[in-house]
Amino acid sequence: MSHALFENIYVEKNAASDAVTLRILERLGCSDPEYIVHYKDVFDLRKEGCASGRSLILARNPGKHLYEGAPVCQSFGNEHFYYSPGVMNCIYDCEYCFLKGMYPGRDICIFTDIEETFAEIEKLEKDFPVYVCASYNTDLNALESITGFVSEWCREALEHENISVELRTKCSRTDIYKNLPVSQRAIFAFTLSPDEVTERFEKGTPGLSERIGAVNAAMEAGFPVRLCFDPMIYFRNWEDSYTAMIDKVASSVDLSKVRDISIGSFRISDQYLKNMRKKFPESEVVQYPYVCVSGYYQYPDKVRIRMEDHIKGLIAGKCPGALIYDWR
Amino acid sequence: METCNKTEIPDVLASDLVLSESMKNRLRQICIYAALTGIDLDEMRDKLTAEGKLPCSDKNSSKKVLSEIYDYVACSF
Ligand code: SF4
Repeated sequence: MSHALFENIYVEKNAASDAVTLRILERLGCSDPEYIVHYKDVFDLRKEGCASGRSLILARNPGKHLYEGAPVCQSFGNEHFYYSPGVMNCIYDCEYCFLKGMYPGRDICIFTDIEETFAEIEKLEKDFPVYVCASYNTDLNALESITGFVSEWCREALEHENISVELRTKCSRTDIYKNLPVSQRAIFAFTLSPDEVTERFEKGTPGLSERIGAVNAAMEAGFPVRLCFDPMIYFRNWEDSYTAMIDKVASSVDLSKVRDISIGSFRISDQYLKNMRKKFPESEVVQYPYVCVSGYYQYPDKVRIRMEDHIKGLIAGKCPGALIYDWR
Repeated sequence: METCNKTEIPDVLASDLVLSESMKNRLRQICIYAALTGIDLDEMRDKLTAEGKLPCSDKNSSKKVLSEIYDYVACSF
């Protein structure tokens, strides 16, 4: 069955009666999904570009529910840092997104056994504080009307003193925050980009003003907020664009109330970039001649340091006491 | 201006340099990016020729020139 957002909706047979499956189908008003044996029967076969739309797949996660954070991810001082692959793929279409190098196509797969993930984290948190990036392979906020997972992660953080969760997003929704369980362990991390970056490289995502609206809504609801100027993208006019962005952010967000700020220029694993270069020969951001350092492509130091220093300087000028995390 | 066809190194540049396979790959990627961003490689080649750096007769001098071309294309914004 098709839907406004999805070309088709597939349900794995063994996930058909899961509470999450039923909830999502109800929210989508879908009574006749197509049943499949394994999510990979659809997810792995529909290659990028073979169809204009995207499908939704509801399935059980047959693999790991938690992964240790990759070296190019920021751990924000947390020793036990994990990410959850609870949803694979995103409704947005950022040109530089590593998911394009990781997954074969655009279909979104939601794992309906989120309870298993929580059970695994709760086992770990008995021994040490756990920090989880819940929105690592997707943008959960943008899917909240469908999944309700943001709310579940916030509840998990509220109920467990040793569990902190980061929900990274580019979503501009302002209405969700006041209805979520608030705690200081549920951190909303907003990726902010200059409008030129959004227009050119972050297809489908809201503009800077809209994202700032969501930042303020999350802070007003009492959540700790992280601003992420990461990934910074190098392009003609990058310097002016990032300067204008920081000016705008500083004049519309109370930076003294922001928990911390993350900065970083674009970097990506070598295999993902190789896959993306084949798929997107016309993409300026994908075809940049990056340098490879320990298996990760990044800008050469000359560019990287200039960009990162530029944004650090701008932030320091607007908010001298800001706690800034640099990915290096 | 001679533009890259996205996969090929312009003949005129390739014949002026002595390149290993990995250097060729590097130059090819530089050319692709230059073509996508409208960076004029001819201008750079003319400058290198005027400075007597092109054509190169060996791999070492080619390496240095490749590094200059890289900076010109990848670090100039
Ligand atoms: S919002 Fe994030 S996860 Fe979604 S496409 Fe963009 S970079 Fe990827």
